[in-house]
Amino acid sequence: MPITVCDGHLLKDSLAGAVAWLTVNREEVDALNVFPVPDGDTGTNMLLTLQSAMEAVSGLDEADLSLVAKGAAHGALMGARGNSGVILSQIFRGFCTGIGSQPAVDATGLAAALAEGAAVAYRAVIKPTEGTMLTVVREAARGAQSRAAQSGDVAETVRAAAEAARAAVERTPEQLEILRDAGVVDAGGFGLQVILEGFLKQMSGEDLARLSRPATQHARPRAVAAPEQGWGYCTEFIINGDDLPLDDVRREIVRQGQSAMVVGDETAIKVHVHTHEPAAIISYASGIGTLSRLKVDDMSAQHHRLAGEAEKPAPQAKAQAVVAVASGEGFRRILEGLGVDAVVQGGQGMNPSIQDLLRAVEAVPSNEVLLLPNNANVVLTAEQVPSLTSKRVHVVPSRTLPQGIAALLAFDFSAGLEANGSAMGSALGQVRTIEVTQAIRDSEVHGTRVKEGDVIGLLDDELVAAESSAPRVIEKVLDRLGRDGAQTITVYAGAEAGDEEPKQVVRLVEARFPQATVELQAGGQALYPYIIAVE
Amino acid sequence: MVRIVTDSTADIPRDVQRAFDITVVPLNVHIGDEVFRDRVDLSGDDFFQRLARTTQLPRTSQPSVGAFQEAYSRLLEQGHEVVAVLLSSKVSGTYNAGLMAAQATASDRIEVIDSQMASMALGFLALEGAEAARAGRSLKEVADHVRSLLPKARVIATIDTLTYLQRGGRIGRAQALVGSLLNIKPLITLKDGEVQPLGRARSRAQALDRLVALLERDGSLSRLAVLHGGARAEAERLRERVAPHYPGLEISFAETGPVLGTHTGPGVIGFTYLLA
Repeated sequence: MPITVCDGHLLKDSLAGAVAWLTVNREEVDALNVFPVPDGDTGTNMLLTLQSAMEAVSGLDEADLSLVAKGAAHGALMGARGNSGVILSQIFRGFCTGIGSQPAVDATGLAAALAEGAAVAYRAVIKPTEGTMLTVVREAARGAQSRAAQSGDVAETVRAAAEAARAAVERTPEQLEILRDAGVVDAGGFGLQVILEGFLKQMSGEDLARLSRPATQHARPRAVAAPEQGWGYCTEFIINGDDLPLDDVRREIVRQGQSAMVVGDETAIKVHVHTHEPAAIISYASGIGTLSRLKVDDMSAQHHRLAGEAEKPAPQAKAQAVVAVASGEGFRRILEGLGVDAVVQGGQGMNPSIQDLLRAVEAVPSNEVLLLPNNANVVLTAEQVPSLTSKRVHVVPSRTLPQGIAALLAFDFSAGLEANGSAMGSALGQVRTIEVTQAIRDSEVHGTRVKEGDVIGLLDDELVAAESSAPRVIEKVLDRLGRDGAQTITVYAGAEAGDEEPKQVVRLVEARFPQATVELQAGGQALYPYIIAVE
Repeated sequence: MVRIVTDSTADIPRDVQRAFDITVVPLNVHIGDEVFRDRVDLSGDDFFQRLARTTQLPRTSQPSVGAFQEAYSRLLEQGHEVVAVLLSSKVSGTYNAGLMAAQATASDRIEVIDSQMASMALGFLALEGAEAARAGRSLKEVADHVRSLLPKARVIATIDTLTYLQRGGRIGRAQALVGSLLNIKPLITLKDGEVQPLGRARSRAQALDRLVALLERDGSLSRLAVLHGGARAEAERLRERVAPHYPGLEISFAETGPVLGTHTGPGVIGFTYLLA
């Protein structure tokens, strides 16, 4: 039976479907990293953003589409993390604008709202690039609009959007050389395709196993395990259905996870479980019945946030406060020693949400705040914060921790917010950043051949060396850097660097730059054994 | 005729003191059991050499009320009136001692001014007073002239370590700079009479760059000195570096004495100046 009207209930249900389907596909989206570095978990970021949208409307029993769209847009914005999450939140915002005050829309109205979502997302990105999520949402909207004009069926319109998205995703390697070289499709675009498929699944009850995946070769799943395996994900949901096998479900959930709590009856089972593999559990449960109230929380992130907040000294009012993002206990202490008022844990592989940043900005004892994202994938998230608070916030777009530290050193206690923001912005260019990590798969980037497990070196975000050991990589990157003018070189050893090797690294840097002062610091960052600042 | 009294933290060279008939009341520095009058019994250079050899932490003390009374009385007896321009009351009891001495003298021919400054910024205020006095201005005119210049006086400097400021209890708001795990060079200033933070630099060279930028940001100046504690060669290079920006302005040196040196530690370098 065709669905002719989309109201608040339908949008809310569809969101749940999208969350479930993206949860199942999250790892596949994550694996589509262009760089072979353990970075930028696009699927995770989009899922967390989408979950936040869903949670915002979970308490609403509302037929009015405009209210549900508004709630979802707000939730998406607050939960947005990573560039892909921020763009997704902008699509929601545009969608919400497109709905306006309409209590319900037909297929044409839905397609128009999606088109508005695409338009707003384009505007949110300073330099829109084709072959990304932006292209995919635009094509999806175009597909939806042309089908809506013919059929008038909401589900068919969503199907057209999902199909157009898939076709656009498959074309992304033709549009972006970097994707072609890496042999992957665009992760954000694919994530968006999955979300649209999730909407469709919920609306049509369709078996999504039959939806074909893009023909393009995906990256193999990452070989490097995510850090801090000990915490895992707190996963909660309710299974709805008739004649549900409570005991079987309980047995299976207990087998798959820890701290399991499975309660209910034949029509509804509530599940709470801690697991490293939420997708496997959700996939199992979705075969038993319909899922609702699905919630997956990264407990590592929660743990870090709580640990960070407990030690805060009593706040003192000050003219300008500084909020910075960092990974690692060592970096947290270093940043606090340089006057940072609040350190939001995050960075590689664990991007903070807009809400995380906003909360820190609201909490610091000043009405003027300088915000340092310190990671390329957090810059866009940070840039959403100024419009969400009554405080005056200046974002200094630091893409690495050394850049953030260079910016902090340019802070002038006697200057105002704008002057400091611009001085700190100029300081970003005064430091070169070397990052050393391990390749998570085979790849070729800018002519450098990389094998899975190689130690790789990045100079200012660009991969320039792949070798068998960290010291060899560092030597190679230093060759690339040249020898001029370095005065101060700081080696930040990561959590995985060990005790002896960092000293060896310092000796080789000293030999290379006899004029410079070389300092070794414990950064404690995850995934990156070394981050080196050359000033 | 009006005469100027100041204290030894003004870093005024001996010949300039004499040329402008400025009376300098010394503070004291205590090293172990020995007491030295600041810049009288012990020069800055000698002090920093001693500091490098000893593990004992020197202490400082303000001049006695009696020392000021003596200085005032001598000038009053010669028929002069006195304007005393003294070290910031926020970091020392010197101003208080000078004020009490004036009250004890029970004379309406003495004006005592809290400069809110130290080093040559204080010295420049004293010199401005001395020049106005030499031009025949009255007690009130000289005092008003000095007071009008207080908002224009500046000291900016970098120090090697915050340890000395901290141990001597004079760190003030520059406490904000303490606690860096990275090796940083603090930039400090005197503002509202107390030590305040300006910023941080990653190296001495970077610190000097910042000081030069801060100086140039302040536009045209009427007086300028390069301040240093036992770092003459570096101070000379710094003077050469900024001199082209200030044609026609004589740039002098302010050599920090033992009392200020006790609180800054060795290697302090910076600028002290009056805005035009």
